[in-house]
Amino acid sequence: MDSVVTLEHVRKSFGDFVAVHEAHLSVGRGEFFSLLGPSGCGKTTTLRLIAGFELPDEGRVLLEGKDVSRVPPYRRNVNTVFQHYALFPHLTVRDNVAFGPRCRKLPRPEVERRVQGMLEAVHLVPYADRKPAQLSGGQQQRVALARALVNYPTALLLDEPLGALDAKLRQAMQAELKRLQREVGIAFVYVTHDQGEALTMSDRIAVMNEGRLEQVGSPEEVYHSPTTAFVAGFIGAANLLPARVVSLGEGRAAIAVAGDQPAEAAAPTWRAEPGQGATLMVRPERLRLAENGQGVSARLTAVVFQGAVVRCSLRTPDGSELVAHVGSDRPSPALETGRNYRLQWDPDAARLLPPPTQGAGAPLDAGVAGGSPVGPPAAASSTFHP
Amino acid sequence: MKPALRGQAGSRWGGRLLELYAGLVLLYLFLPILVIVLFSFNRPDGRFNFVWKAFSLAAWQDPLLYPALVEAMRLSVSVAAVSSAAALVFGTLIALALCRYRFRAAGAVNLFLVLPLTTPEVVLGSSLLSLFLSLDAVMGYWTIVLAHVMFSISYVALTVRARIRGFDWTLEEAAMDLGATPFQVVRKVTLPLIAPGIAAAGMLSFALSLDDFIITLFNAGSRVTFPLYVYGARRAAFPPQINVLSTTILAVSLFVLGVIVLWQQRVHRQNLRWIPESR
Ligand SMILES: Nc1ncnc2c1ncn2[C@@H]1O[C@H](COP(=O)(O)OP(=O)(O)OP(=O)(O)O)[C@@H](O)[C@H]1O
Ligand SMILES: [Mg+2]
Repeated sequence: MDSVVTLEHVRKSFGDFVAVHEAHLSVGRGEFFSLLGPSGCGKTTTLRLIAGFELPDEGRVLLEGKDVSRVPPYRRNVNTVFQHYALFPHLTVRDNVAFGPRCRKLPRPEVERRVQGMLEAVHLVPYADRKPAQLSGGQQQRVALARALVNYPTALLLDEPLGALDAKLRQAMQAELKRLQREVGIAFVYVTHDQGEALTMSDRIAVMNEGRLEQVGSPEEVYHSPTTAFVAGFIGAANLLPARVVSLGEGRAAIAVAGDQPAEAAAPTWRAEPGQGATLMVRPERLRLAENGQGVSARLTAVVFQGAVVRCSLRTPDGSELVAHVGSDRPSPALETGRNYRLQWDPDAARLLPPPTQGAGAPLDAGVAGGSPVGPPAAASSTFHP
Repeated sequence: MKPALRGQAGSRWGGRLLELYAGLVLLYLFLPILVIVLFSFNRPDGRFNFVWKAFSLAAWQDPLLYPALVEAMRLSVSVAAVSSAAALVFGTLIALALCRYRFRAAGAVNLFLVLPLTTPEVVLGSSLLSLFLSLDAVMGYWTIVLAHVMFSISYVALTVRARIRGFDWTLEEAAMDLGATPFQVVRKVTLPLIAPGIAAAGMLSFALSLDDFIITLFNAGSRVTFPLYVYGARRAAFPPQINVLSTTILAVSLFVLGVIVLWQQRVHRQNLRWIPESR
C-alpha cells in the first residue's frame, strides 16, 4: 500500500482532556483527504500531530512508512498552510516563498528556480516584491500555498485555509486549490468544518466527533452510507428515527418504525439480530409523499416553498419529526397541512444504523477492518509526483 | 438659549485656561534644558558659567579642554554601553520567557521586575553598597556596571514585553514547519520582528545609566562619572564645556529616538494584518 501519511492508534491528551482518541488512518499518495467535524473535535490537533507540533501519547505517526513520532517539525517533510496564513510580515512575497529552501541550505540557483516556478504556478509574479500586508486575502492565501509547496512536501497540511475568506472568494479558491493539487500531485490533508467543501473537494473524508474518527470513506460513502447517526446528521440533512429490526432477509431488513408501523430498509452492515433496536436514516430528498397505499403514516405539519424543492415537515403517530423535500414542479398529491399522508422510500435509500449508545462506543472503529489502517481506494492513488 | 450661550462662553474661557496651563507646564519642563543649551554659548566671567555675559563659540571649539571632564564622560559612556548591553540580553530573555511560557514563578518574576522601578534609589544604592562591602568587593568600574545592570534589566524587560505582547507566535511555528531549526527561527523571524522594541529598550537603559546619580554615588568608589563630576564641579569650577557635552548628549539621543520611532512605525505598518472585507 502506497500511503504517505499514516496514523497508527494515535492518542493525544492535554492534561485530563483527551483531544484525540485512537486516530487510525492513512492517506495515499496524491490523495485529497479531508478531516471534517464540528468545532473542538480535534481536527487541528490531528494535523499538528502529523506536522510534529504535538507528540502522540500513544501510537505512531508515519511519513512514507518511516516512524517520525519523535522527530521535530523542522525535520519532517510535511508543510502546513495555517488558518491565518502566518506569513512573515517583514519579508517580501519572494522571500516568504524562498524561506523553506533557504533554511534547508539549497544552492542559490536551485532556490531561485523553485521560487520562480512556484510564483508562476500561483500567479503571483507581479506581486513578488510586495510585503504580505499589501496583498488581498486571496493573494495572501496563495503565498501561503506557494511557500509550503515550494519544499515539495510529502503531504501538505491545510487547516481551514479558506476560513477567513468571503463566500465568493471561497468558491474560487476551492477550485484553484483542487487544480493546484492535481497539478503537483501532492497529498493534501485538509481540515474543514464545512461539509459542502469536504464533499466537493475530497477523494476521501474522515468525519471526526469528540476526538474520534467516526467514519472514513469517499464523499459518496459518507453521504449515502453513513455508519453512525452522527455522520448521517453532520453530512447533509438526515431523518433519524428510532426503529426495531423485525427480520433480516437478503440485502433487506424488515423493520418497525414510528409507532410499530412496518417498513423496509437496506440490511445493516453491522451485526444485527431480529428484535434489536436501531436508528433508521433516510435523506429528506429520498422520501415520497402519497395520499394512500403503503408506507408510514404521518401528519403534514408545515409546508415551506424553497425554490427547487418544497420542504414538508411531518409528524408520525409516535411524535417523531420528519422532513421531506418534494420537487416543487410536481406537487402531487396536493399538499395540505393537517392531513395524513403515507411516507414511502426505496429500501436502498434507508439505512439502519446502530442505536446511538453503541454508536458512540468503541466497536465502530471508523470502518477499520482487521486492525490495519484504512488505506486509500486504489483509484485515489494518483500517479504524477514531482 | 441663555444657558447654552453661557456654557459656550465658559468653555471658551476654559479652553484658554487649559492652553495657558499646558504652556506653563511645557515651559516648566523645558526651561532647564533650554538654559543648558543656551549657556553652552556663553563666555562666563570667571570659573562659573551661571550668569549670562556674552555670546561665544569658544567652548564648542574646544569641548575637550578639561581632561577630568573628558575622563568622566568616557567612563559614563563606557558604563552605559556595557551595562545596557548586558541588560538587553537578560531583559529580552526575561520578556520572552514571560510572554512565551506559563510557569509557576511568573508572578514572582513580574513582582521583582517592578521592584527596582518603585523602590527609592537611596534604598537600592545603599543596600547594594552594603552587599558589595560584605562581599569585600573593590568599589569601582564593575560595581557601577553591576548596579546599573540591576535596574536597567527591569526597564528592558518591561519595554520589550510591551512590544512582544502582540507577537504572533504561529510565525515561529510556521518557520519551524518550513524547516528552520530553533536557532534559525530566532535569527530569521523572532529577532527581526522584535528588534524595534529591543532598540527602544537599549536606548532607554543607555540614557538611564548615563544620568544615574544616586545609585552611582553609593557604588562608584573613587571613580567619577559625568553626573558625579558635574555635581562636584558646582563648587570648584563650572566651565561651559559641561553644557557643550550635555547638549551633545541631548542632540544624539533625540536623533536616535527619532530614528527608532520612525522604524517602529514602519514595522508596525508591516505587521498590520489584512482584514477580510466580509468580517
Ligand atoms: N494546547 C492545548 N491545551 C489544552 N487543550 C487543548 C490544547 N489544544 C487543543 N485543546 C483542546 O482539544 C480540543 C480539540 O482542539 P482542536 O483545536 O483540535 O479542535 P478543532 O477540531 O480544530 O476545532 P476548530 O474547528 O474550532 O478549530 C479542544 O477542546 C481544545 O480545547
Ligand atoms: Mg482548528
